[in-house]
Amino acid sequence: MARVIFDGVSKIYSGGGQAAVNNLNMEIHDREFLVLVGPSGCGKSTAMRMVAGLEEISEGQIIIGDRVVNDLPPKDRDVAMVFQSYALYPHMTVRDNLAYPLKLRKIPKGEREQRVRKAAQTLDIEQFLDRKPKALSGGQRQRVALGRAIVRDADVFLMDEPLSNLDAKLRVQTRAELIKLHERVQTTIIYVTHDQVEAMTMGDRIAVMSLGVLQQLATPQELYDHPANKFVAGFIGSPSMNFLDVNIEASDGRLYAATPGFKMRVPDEKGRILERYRGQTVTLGVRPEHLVERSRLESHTAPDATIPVQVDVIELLGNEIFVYLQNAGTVLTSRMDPDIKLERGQKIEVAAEPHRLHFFDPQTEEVVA
Amino acid sequence: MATTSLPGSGAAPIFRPKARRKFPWRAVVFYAVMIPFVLIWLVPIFTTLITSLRSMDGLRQNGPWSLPESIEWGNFREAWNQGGLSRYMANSFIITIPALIGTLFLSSLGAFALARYKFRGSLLIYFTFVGGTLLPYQILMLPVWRLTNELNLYNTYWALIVFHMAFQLGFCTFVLRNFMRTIPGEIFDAARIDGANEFRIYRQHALPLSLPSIAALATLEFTWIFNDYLWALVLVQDDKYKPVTTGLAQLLGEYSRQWNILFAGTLIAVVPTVLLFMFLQRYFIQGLTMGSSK
Repeated sequence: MARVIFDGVSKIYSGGGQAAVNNLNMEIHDREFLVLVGPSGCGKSTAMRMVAGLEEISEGQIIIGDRVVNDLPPKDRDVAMVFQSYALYPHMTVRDNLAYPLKLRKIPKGEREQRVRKAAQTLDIEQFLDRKPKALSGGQRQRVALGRAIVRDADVFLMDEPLSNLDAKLRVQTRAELIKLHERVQTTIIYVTHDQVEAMTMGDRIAVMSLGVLQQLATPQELYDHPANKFVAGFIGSPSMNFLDVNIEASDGRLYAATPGFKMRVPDEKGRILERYRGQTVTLGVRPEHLVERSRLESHTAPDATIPVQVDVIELLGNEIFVYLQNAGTVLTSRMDPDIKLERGQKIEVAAEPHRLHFFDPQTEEVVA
Repeated sequence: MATTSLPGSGAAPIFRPKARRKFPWRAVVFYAVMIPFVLIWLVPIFTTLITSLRSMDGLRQNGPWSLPESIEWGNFREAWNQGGLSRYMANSFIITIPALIGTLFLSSLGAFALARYKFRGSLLIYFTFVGGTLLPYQILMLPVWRLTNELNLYNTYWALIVFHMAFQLGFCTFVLRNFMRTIPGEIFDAARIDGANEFRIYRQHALPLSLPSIAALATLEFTWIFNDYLWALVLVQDDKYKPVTTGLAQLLGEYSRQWNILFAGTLIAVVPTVLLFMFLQRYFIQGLTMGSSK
């Protein structure tokens, strides 16, 4: 059981170029399920491999528990890892695969067998113990890979996209099992994925990375409600957030977000902060599910706090509908109740609760209000 | 295919003659060309077999293209004992087996490093190995002979063992390195995290997973080393140390008029190679890495 600390960690590959991981600072708490998420090439796997000791750390320190592990070989770091391809030893039986890390740690035979049996029970793979990996299905192999980590009783589990080779149904099922497993084994887990749904459902906290830089480290809800910047706002949530460039204008002592197609009043609570952007352009972000037909808004909306739009395309999904809305060439996506009756070409007004509007600085892309 | 008659199509639904088979020109041409080749290929082997089993008298009377008058197993005994093949055969194994093991051991170590570690100059080393195998061995004859002399290895088993090891290393490293690169790297990473040191990874993972290619190489290399004539001629002079290849040449001198003994000796000499091929053939196709990932 241990915390993991990244202290100014960078990874720069020889041959120059951009840093794969750039000055990463974060603390992963003891027994936390932390998800590292980001698009491919964002450095999340590299960050994890540095914890494992499979990549050298170019700059900074990684601390596991109370030890700086920079110069420790993988075997002395007390981490277990589950690989995307499972990386089972094809020439060994499942039993030997599970026992292998214990054998190398000179665990006596009796205890070894007992721990293998227990892990196999936990993962329901007892009946496959004498098979070779190639005689197992993808889901079964995945369990064996998990088992090989569990038997270790390691301080930290590292999981590198362990579900991405499973089919959709099995993935959802295994996801739930992993959450339960974490509760049972009570160990720190660092979980790498590019799938934001996995991240949102599994993580105690989520670290969003892009281009080697940590964008935000927060709980799933915090990430969804208060994205720190435009990248996080666009990455978390599906369909992703609508972004439009608006001009902050003032008239009658009020602030308005204006585009060539509409002029929407900025809620007062955001207005104070946006004051300094008066006369400038900012990026307005609003999630599809928060963009609703005006009459459905819970709070009272001022008539000039809406966006007039024309319904362009309606996608029926049964439990919800995606509506693509047009305003002077700008397309907005909205996710609505299927019971709302809309037709193509219909003109409606949409609005969002004040706290559902996000404003980003167009240069830094950081959230401003 | 089910034939259906369309109503009103005019044609009565009678049975149709089978579509006329095309004359199998391709097959005919193939066999017409290949069968003579196979026969030409087999004639010397067959003649060797027949000749080794008959008496010299019968051979003289009826010529080599006739069936034997009696089966003379004694020819083999004669070649083995008096001809000295027992000695030569033993020498061949004394030379081939250590050379083979040494080559495979060293090249698999080198291949593992070249395949799995990133270090400066690894590609250069790799190309040196490949380049070395491209060197025509004729230009090496004199230098190697002199080197063996200098090292006091001339006319010993070691001369051939060391030479074969060195000379086959390039090819084996080349083959094994390329094979080991196809093993998913995550397997080695997993072993590293499980607590294996580098040599253990080599021994318990890289080596077993390379078994198909090692087995294939072992077969090839055994044949090459076992059948080597040139270097045995250059590096060993004493009958005591001669392998079966130069030994047979020796036999040629002693039994120049006794073809049956000579041919019996030749057949004895090929037995190990043939057996080995038959035994190790199955390794060629065994894909050991199947099922390791995805």
